[in-house]
Amino acid sequence: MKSSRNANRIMLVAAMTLQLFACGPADTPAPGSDLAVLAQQVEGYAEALPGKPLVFPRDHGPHPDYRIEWWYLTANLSDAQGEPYGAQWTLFRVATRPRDAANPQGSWQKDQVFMAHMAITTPEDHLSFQRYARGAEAYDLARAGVETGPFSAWLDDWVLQSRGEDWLPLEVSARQGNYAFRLNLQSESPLVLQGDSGFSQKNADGGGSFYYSQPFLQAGGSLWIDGREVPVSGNAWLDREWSSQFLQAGQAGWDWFSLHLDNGEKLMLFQLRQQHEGNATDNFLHAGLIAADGSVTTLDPQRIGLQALRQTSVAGRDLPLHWRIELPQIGRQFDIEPLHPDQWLDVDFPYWEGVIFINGAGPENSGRGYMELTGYPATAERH
Amino acid sequence: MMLIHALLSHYRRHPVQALFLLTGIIVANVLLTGTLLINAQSRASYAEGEQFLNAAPAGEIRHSDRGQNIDERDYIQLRRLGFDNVTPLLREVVQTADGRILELAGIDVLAMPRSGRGISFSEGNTSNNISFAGFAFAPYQLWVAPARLQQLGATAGERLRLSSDQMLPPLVAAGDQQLGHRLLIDIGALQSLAGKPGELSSLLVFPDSPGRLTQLRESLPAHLRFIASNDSPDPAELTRSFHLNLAAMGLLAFVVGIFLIYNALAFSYTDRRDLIRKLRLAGVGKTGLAGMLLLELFLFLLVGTLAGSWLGAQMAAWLLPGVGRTLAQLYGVYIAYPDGLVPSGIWLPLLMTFLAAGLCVLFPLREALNAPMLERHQAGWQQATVQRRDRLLAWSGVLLLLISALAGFLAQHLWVALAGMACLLLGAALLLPAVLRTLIGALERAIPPQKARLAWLLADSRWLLGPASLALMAMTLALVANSGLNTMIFSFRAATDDWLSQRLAADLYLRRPPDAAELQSWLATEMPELQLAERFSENITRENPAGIPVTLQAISLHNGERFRDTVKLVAGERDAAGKFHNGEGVYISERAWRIDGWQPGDSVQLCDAHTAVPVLGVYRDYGNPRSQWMLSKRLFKACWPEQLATGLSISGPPGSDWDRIRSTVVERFDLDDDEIINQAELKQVGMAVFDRTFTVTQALNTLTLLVAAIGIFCAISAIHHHRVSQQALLTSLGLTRRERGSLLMLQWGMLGLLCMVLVWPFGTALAGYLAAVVTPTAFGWSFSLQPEWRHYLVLAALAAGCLMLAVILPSLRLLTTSPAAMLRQQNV
Repeated sequence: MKSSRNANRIMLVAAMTLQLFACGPADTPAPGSDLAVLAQQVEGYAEALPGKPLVFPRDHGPHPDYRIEWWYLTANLSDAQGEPYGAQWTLFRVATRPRDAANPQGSWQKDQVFMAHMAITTPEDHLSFQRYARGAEAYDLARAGVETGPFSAWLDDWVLQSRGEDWLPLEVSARQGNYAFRLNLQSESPLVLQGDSGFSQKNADGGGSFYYSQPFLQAGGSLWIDGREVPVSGNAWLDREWSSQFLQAGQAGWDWFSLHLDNGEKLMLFQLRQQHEGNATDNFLHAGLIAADGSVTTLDPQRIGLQALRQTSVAGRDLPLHWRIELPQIGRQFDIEPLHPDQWLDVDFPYWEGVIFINGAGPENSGRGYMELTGYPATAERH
Repeated sequence: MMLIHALLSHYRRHPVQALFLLTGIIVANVLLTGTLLINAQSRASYAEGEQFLNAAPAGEIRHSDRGQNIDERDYIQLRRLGFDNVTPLLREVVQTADGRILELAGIDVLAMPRSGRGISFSEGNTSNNISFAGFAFAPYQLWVAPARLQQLGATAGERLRLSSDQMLPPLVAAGDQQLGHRLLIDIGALQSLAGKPGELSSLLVFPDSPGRLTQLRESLPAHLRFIASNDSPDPAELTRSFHLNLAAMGLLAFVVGIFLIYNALAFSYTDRRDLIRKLRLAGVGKTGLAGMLLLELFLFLLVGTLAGSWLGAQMAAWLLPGVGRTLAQLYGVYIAYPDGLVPSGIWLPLLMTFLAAGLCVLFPLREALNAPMLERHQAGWQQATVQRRDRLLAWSGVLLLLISALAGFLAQHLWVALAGMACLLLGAALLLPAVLRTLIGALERAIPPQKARLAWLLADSRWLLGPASLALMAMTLALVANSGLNTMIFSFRAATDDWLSQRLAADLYLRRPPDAAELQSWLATEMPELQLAERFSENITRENPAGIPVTLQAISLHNGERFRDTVKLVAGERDAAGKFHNGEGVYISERAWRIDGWQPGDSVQLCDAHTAVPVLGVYRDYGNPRSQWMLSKRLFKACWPEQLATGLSISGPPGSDWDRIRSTVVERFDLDDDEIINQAELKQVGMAVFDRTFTVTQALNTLTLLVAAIGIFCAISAIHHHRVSQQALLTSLGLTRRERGSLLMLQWGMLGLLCMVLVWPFGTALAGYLAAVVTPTAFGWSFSLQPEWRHYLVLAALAAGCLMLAVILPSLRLLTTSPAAMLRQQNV
């Protein structure tokens, strides 16, 4: 069960797709029955299977035969005074029905829907936006799409693209009203193929997803906050994943951490929460330490300590924004605290995703990162 | 308390009379409330502006060439420049297999604004089960307002078949989407239905910061232009006349209702004279009695107006889709059909009814209270009193007719024209009793004295004029209005038909023109006998003679005799045609002449590139709610040399095989079948639009007639109550029941026919008034009157039939009562 964090992301998209199709009331945590509906629709899509090597630059591009896919970028940034900022750019691709090669369709009837989220965290504030668009075959007929050669992923003017013919360096830019960012992304480190050479198993039956990351991106550029330009630099983390398969029912949500440690290592850690809380031992835990050379050390789930220190009320929900993480296997212990609580994405499928601080002894126990919390019901709903 | 109890006991014994009074009050309210609500709802819709998924655009981006569609690539380019407040729109008018016309708006829900009042995918409307995803993806959905769904006679889930044999997506009733007459569909689905891949009619621009909107304007390529919603013609202004006409219909029904109220009160008080006399003998004061009677009336009014208002709201909801269709087809304006109408301004009909009823009660109340106390009430309708009344009414009628004539001459404003029309209607009705009396008198003199039964019948009918004249007046009022409106619509239809035949000079019309030069050269080699004509148009804004800026359309007229003859001038200078074709002046539409005030001989500034030219003549332009100037093609080209043709037409010698020519052109220029239309089809579509435009008028017209029928039924029932002695007399003279029945029928049938003596001329006069005064003032269109004689006969049969039918029911009781019982009753 490596890299199940991706599975969580799949669930996020699944839930969003579900919203798209069912238009149920807002904030419905995906219950089992909804996932069952989705499971029926999986038929006709390609299945992610191990033993299929990833090929680049081809696999930077879209895989429309698979149901869902994303390009997910988060950046921990600082301005000239060292004040912390954050930027998030995500593009989800969802196929609404299996491709039918025999019946090609007009530009508006493409069955590929794109959903994008854009968020900026400032020392005091957090802004988030969302957009939807349909894909199209032709570049100039599509509000959203992904191309390789050179690489470009876009929805309107929210764009992640290679600056030249090569994959790196990348540039990400997005604007909504008076808020915008434009960042250059460069790295000397290789891509990290997650799981078994890029195949990440998701359940005991062997199903899974294709998954690779670029966690070592150096980011530099500007944010525009209410029209004011703020030059920034920092670390960025890009995740790529595609699959047709969804998680089993019974999961309420997840707590996920991507951490840039001050010693240059990266740490990914998450827990999947069972729908019926109470027994924390039922939750599924995963952690992987990524060395500077891209090699991944997966930690023993039994020896991952993840403890919520307290609940904070955000957007009508009680969220665990403060954590203690203990990893005795690699001798790490640190606390997680948010830059500020208000990093809630009030989008169609709302979640908390934002800048966090890692506080511990020594550079191996400190740094900054991003935390994602999903599936926490509104306080009123719980009672 | 005892007093009111005693007074109300009358209604316990005669519940039908209470029903009549209530009916009058309700009738006065229903149509008035209904039309008021429709107008209020329309005004609310205009104020909100056209909405898409409950979001109102700040403007639209259109192609600089009117009528040209926008290339989807231009839209994508704007989105990729970051203008996320721009969303695509494709409008299409399609025809179903059974001939109904649907106006479809294709939108992309995925591109709609994501904030404010825009949509959210998660806030799915669980109440009526609509789904944005179902809308946006195959098999798609066709969203329709529930009222429109009903109008189409379709059910949710049904798929309509188009005349092209394509199937529309399943219908989904979307109640709160402000859809109105339009049907909403996914833009991709519509593009493929219409065979217009990659084409958009316009781009909706949703509100953004002023700076951002300026940036958008500056980013537009030369062939696109932004039109702010505020710059578009104000729909409220455009449709003002239509709503005034609607209000006038409501007022007409109100007047009919007031007649009924008066009638009911008069009968009820006459019937209770004995009771009132007894009460007064028992020592009850006049003031107390008056107070009680007024309190009783107040109670009736309260119940009646409330019921009337409620029914009016129901009627408004029922009629609203029809109104919406008219507005969409006549003005291109869309109103919403809400699930519930806002009861705004409902106090107005209430107040009017109370005031009018207050006036109505004055005369009967005074009569009832002032009757001599010691004299037993004899015949209710003394001939002398009645004759005096009829004379008074007749003189009032003459006075109203004079006022009406004066208003007709002076009418500049629609209100004056409508007031004049009201005077004409009322005047005609008021003349009725005197005219009927004269006519019956003449008949009495004409019949030989030995026909005693007939003589008696006529004499009795003359007596009947006393109690029945009010109801007959109400009926006449409704019949005159009905006849007038029908004649007007018939004449207008004939005029439009004539005018369309005149104006549609060419044989084939191309909606989306291919390259004109290419078509021209192809025609020259392939079919040299055919001629190509181009049509140009440009929207311009000019100050009218009163200094008010008017948006009008400048159009070109193709050279050549065939086209020259299509324009028949209503007014104009000598040798106008010659000067026009030399480009020495322009023609103006009747609306520009009548409403905006340009006169033949006036100088108008066409464009900066050309000196001012004189107005040479005025032509008819039916159905166009906007003013128009017509220029020769040469003059048009001098002003707007760059303008591309907005339409092409092909004409040829008579007897050409147009079906073959059409299919050849379609094939050669790769046109869609609906992009080329022949003259006959075009005319048919034009007339279909005309007919649908008057659906609401016809419906209201029929309702007024129904109101009058109810009135006459009420009146006859009440009169029969007083006719027992007359029947007893006839029975004692040995007349059988059958004979008595025939006499009754004959009597009322004759009265109905005699009424036609007024209905015919005044109906025609009303139609003339509508054609010559009201319509020109309201719309700027005039047409000559063409009386339809067949309709007059139908109306006569209808009136006589209606009266006889109304007689049957109350008569049954009268005829089946035994003579002894009758006489007993008489002795009470």
